[in-house]
Amino acid sequence: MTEYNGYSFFGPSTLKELLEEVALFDGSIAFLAGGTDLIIELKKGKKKPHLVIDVSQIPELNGVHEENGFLHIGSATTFSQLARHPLIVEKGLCLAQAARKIGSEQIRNRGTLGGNIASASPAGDCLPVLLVLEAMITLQNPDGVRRLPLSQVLQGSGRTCLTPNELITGIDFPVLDGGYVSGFEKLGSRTAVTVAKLNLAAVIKVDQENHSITEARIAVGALGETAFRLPDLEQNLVGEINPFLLHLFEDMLTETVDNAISGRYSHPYKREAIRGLAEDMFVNLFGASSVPGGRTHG
Amino acid sequence: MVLEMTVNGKAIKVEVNPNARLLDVLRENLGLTGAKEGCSGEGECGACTVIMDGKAVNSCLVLALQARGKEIITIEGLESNGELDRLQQAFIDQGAIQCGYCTPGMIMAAKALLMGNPHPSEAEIRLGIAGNLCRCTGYLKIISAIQEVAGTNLRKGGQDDDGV
Ligand SMILES: Cc1cc2nc3c(=O)[nH]c(=O)nc-3n(C[C@H](O)[C@H](O)[C@H](O)COP(=O)(O)OP(=O)(O)OC[C@H]3O[C@@H](n4cnc5c(N)ncnc54)[C@H](O)[C@@H]3O)c2cc1C
Ligand code: FES
Ligand code: FES
Repeated sequence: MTEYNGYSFFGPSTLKELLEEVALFDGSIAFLAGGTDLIIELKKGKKKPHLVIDVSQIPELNGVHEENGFLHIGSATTFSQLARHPLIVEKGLCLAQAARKIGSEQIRNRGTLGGNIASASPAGDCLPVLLVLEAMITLQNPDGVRRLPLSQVLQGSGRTCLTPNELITGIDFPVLDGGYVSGFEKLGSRTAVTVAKLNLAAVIKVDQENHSITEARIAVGALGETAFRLPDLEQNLVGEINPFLLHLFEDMLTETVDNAISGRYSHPYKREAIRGLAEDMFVNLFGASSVPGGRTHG
Repeated sequence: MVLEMTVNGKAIKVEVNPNARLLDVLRENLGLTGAKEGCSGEGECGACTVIMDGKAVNSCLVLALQARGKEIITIEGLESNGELDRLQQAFIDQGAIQCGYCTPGMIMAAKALLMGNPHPSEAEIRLGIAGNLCRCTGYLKIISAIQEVAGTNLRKGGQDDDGV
């Protein structure tokens, strides 16, 4: 065994240069975007790559655009960019809301969507959001490109399907047109005790005329190895909007928590806390009048 | 490897270890010791905050070579001709500095906020400095100091006594 002497650095300015280096390099590679996870791991010696390739100065990997009814996001687009990008705010609001609630201003200015996916933290805030947006992730290595649903990319806590020389280049999802509302809610910060972490994302299609929900997509994070969708709950939300809907939503979320983490230390807390998130989500999606007492958000 | 960037308005060319962080290079190679490592480089304290291309970043979470071609401003760059920046003066006037450990990072976070939004509300100020920990002041005096420069100091009756 040879001693680890740190890593070399490569800072390409095009995807082509990056792929050429990846094809030639003989050794382990780590891609570096915002560094808000990786630099900590490198410093602690939890990762010992031979080469670090910086993806933060490659214009092709940065930005948001709309094409044929899809929003395309470069993997190295930062949370600050997402939080205020007009296309995201208008056609994928839940992602802008999640980006605004990540870390601090300094973290949002550096942290990226691709990094959030590749880190695959159980509590990664963009992950439930991308599940309800039905996002597809584009992966590339020198041998080719593949495009997979996020649920296939995420394999467990900190684990993805990426091969060692593969990078995330982009994320895309169908735009949410005027018929949809979407939202993101979370509890707890990274610094807070882990017991308080929970996040929830929703995309709902509302038929205003018939006062009903025609499609519901709900996902939760921090309740298992990866974020996941709730198909039963989604089905139960479809139908006429009535005064009991919030209660049903809360009960089913509590049941989800019971099924996911019964017996865990955090279980009693999270089964109650998720009801608060549910109520916040209703206010977020349907306005203050949708909850008993018509309370204001906060 | 050679790193080229602009620091406090000056073009810099410096030989760096590829594993060095921007914080290390600023402090050790360039002698700019205002930015501090307050939380052993975990992004939690903000004491290492500098401005990179107009945005506040934790210099403990930027690899030095990632700053290639970038414009960096550190606390040392705020002074001009021996005169303190208004924000620095406001921190002193409002008693927003006690032990001073958080101050350079706090001021750089506030500076970045004001560069993007010259008149932030109190809520916007709180958000802007949420990544900066201060053990001493309880934040109120820090917020007052930023409000003084922003002309939004409602605690003093909302006056705009600087004519900003
Ligand atoms: C103080 C603090 C607060 C935080 N708060 C939150 C929070 O509230 N919510 C949250 O979800 N996260 C939070 N995080 C975690 C982190 O900011 C996010 O996970 C972020 O999305 C990571 O992105 P990055 O660009 O910084 O990734 P990096 O640190 O650059 O990389 C992370 C991992 O992804 C890999 N990678 C990066 N880009 C690519 C790519 N294009 N292709 C393949 N692999 C890639 C890297 O090799 C590495 O393994 C916080 C972190 C800190 C330090
Ligand atoms: S040293 Fe604490 S955030 Fe950088
Ligand atoms: S003045 Fe001491 S930490 Fe802020």
